[in-house]
Amino acid sequence: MLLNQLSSLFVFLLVTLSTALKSIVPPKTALIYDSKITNIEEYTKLLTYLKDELNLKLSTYEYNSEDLSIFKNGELNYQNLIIFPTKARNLGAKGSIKGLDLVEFFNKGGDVFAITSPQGVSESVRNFYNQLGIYPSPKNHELVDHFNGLEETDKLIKLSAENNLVLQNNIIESVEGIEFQGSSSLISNNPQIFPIVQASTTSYTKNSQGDDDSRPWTVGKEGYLTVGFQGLNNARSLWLGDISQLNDSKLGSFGENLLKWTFQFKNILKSIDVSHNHISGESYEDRQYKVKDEIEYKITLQEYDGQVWKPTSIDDLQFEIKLIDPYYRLNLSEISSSAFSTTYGVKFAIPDRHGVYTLQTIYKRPGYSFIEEAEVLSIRHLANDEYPRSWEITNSWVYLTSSIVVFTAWFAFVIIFIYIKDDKSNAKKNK
Amino acid sequence: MAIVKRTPAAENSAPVVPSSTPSSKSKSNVVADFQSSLETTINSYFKTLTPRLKLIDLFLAFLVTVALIQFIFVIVVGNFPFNAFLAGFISTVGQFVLTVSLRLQSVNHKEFGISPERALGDYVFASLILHFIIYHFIN
Repeated sequence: MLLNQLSSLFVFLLVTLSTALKSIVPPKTALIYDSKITNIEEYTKLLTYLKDELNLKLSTYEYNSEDLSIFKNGELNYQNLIIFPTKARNLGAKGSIKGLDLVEFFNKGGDVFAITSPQGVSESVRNFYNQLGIYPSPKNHELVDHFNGLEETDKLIKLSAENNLVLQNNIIESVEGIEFQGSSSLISNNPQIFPIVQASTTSYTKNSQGDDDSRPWTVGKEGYLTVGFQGLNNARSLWLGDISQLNDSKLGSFGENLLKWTFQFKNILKSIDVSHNHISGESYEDRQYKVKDEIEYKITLQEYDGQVWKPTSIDDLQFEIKLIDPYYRLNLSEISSSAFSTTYGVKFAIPDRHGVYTLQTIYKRPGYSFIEEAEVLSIRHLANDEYPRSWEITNSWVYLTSSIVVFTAWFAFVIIFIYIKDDKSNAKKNK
Repeated sequence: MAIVKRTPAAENSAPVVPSSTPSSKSKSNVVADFQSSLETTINSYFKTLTPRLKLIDLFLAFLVTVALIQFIFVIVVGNFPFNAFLAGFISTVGQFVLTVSLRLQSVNHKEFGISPERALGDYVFASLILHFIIYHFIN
């Protein structure tokens, strides 16, 4: 018993320690660039921002550096990757980091922030994004907009909220004053893709080097200039079509918000507690749920703003109780709020059908971490002595009375039948 | 039927259809036949009626009434305690069947080859089993 308690205390301490360490130890971040395209000297503001503001442990690598390996002993060597445009086909020493390696990195929880440009689209990055359903324009393809262009070639494009901002992307609020020059991409209809900045109706993406008859990569609003992607493991990736948004002259709230979102400093939701019990307060273990029982379901959420965990302000959280299809899909409403979390809850009656149910809360909104909480419970039917007796149901009084009356009348009938025997001879005579 | 008695219904039908076609004639004949056979039946019923049979028939009519009341109730109000309805309804139906059997056996006890006393004993025994089951089923 004591040993048990000690070990659970030990586990608790370990878990607390590891979470504490995670927040104290800065996430390792690798910035990969190609000096043939990018002069890293022009990105000092970016490096300072990552190191000092976001408090990341940053190392920068030439794309083919011998020291660059994204895995170490099968685990992630870095939490975050920033990949600048590169001319090379593959990244890493001797092209060791391929697209599928980046997919594996992402699947293991690493966050990837990659930029491609008309000058450099490496196979690795392109293959990685193609796996996610994002198709960046190939090398030499440039976005052109003759209506919103700022210079003679119309390749430097002024973005505006009505033309370019994807509404309710929850990642950036404004694109005012941004001058964009670079690539665009096509995207699939995967709901995990969060488009952030869209190309305007009057724009197209075309190969600027080859013959003019080549088909454009994107036309009008099918092109996207900034696209986010969040895996079901809540790892994040962001594709950006213009490297200059991060350089010293342009880096502003746009680029910073994208970095913060990708590296999990923004829009992080977490459920820290899920509980349910009888309205009376008894738990499922105390008294198993049966059909029509009144239950209260509660879920506690937190949101991370980059520094601290704080209460959430969600008003569209829903809860489902389902067998195969949901029986109920109920709105969860806020019932209490502490300094660092918000508790949502709902009271409901279990459906009048026994079976193995799933109690689940799924919250998936663009730009926010996905929340999926599911618990499988068996709900029993009424035991044979839990149904109401018939005399407790007023309707059955009619039937009870009639059956008693029938019995009484029958009894009287039999008595009278015996006592009017003498008429029997009469009947015989008549016959 | 050898003796066709002119009933008021048959007389009334004559003026309504002056040129009596064969079909209307046979129709009025059928009505007359039916009425006369009905009268014969009723007459013979009352002729052979003993107080005991009268008692049985009264009891049967009572059972039908109770069954009807329950049936109307279940249609109007709904069948929620369905087992209770079934029990109540079956008690009347079952009792009806048993009582009809008693009536048949006491009238034709020679054909059945059992004495009226034996018939009554069977009847009481079967009825007790019926009501025993009813009281369990009604919950």
